[in-house]
Formats: sequence, C-alpha cells, structure tokens
Amino acid sequence: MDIGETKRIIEVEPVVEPVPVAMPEAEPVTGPVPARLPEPALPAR
Amino acid sequence: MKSPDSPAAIRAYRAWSVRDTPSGLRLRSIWFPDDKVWTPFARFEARCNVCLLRRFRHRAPKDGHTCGIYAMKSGADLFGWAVDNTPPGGRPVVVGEVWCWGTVIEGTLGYRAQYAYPASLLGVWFAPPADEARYLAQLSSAYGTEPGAATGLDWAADHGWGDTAVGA
Repeated sequence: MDIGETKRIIEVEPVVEPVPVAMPEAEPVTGPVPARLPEPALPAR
Repeated sequence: MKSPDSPAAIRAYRAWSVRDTPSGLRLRSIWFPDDKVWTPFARFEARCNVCLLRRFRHRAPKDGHTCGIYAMKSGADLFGWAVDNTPPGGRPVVVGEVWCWGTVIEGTLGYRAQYAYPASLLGVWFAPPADEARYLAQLSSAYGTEPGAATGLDWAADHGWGDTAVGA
C-alpha cells in the first residue's frame, strides 16, 4: 500500500489494547451420575 | 519517560489475503504469502523482513524503511490501491477496518503501525458471492470482530467487484 508522504511518527498507547478476549469454551453440562437401580429380583418359582 | 502522543488506537482500512488452516480460515498478508497468519485474539506485531534477512533486527516500523503493518485512512484509497496492486489469480481478498497502535508512522494517505488487530470485516473481493458470506462469518467468528456493516463497501460497489472470480 502507498501511504503517501510521511507526516509524522507518533506513539499510540491505548489504555486497553483493542484485542477482544477469547470466550472460554463452554464446559459440557454434566450432572451427578444416577445410581443404578438394583435389578428386580426374579420371582421364585 | 515520554508520554504517548495518543491514548486511543487508530481505526483505519486494510486488505488481507486468506489462508485455509486446520483451525479454520485465517487472515494473512497479501504480499507476503509465506508470512505467518494473524493469530486470533492476539495483537499482530510488525517486523522488518528485509532486515531479518540481513540478520539485523529492529523495531518496526522504521522511518526510511517500508516495514510496518499497512492501513489506509479511507476505504476509497484502499480500493484504489487494490485495483492496481492486488495480485491476480482469483484469490479472495478480505477488506475491513483495523486497529493500529504502538509506534505509528502516519502518511498523507495511511499508516504503518507496530501493532494491529482487525476491528471489523466488511467484505470479500475476488470471491464468488456464495463464498463471501461464509468467509465473513467464519473470519469474524474466529477473530471475535464486530459484525461488518453492509454499507461498508459502498466505495467499491460501483466498480463491479465482489462477484469477480478472476481466473476461477
């Protein structure tokens, strides 16, 4: 690119750099693992 | 200690080329095809490639050199430059606004900056219309930039760009 004739050299120091902050990846939603129900007893023959 | 000349980053216009990486689409320099891509969520820092080849390192940009991250003051001037200078071959060119800061050399038409980050992506030249929306969506998401304004390309619309797949 042709930026034309140089006018001046400046120091630009933003208080906060204009770089967005990456959003953290969402954690998969997990709940407590349900306890396994006991197998129903087979009826006695 | 010298106080800064400006406490606010400069917003200007810039064009990028695109590289398809395993992580997705990324922005990179038009004129340095082997140059590294712009890392999302990290400032891009200029370097003087000519002096690096001579094993001499200095902070870019430097007065009297051509190093620095280039940006134009107006979209119309960026378009005028791109018409004459974009390499042929049908590779898409992404245009948008860019934040510039650090040491900045101001010219009559634009800037050469030490640091930069995309502010908003406005359009894609040399890409089929179907690809334009996909490129903008993927790149804006990757870099966390503001949604591009649909009116941002008014200065290029009259020239028939946007759906010109050169050599495609």
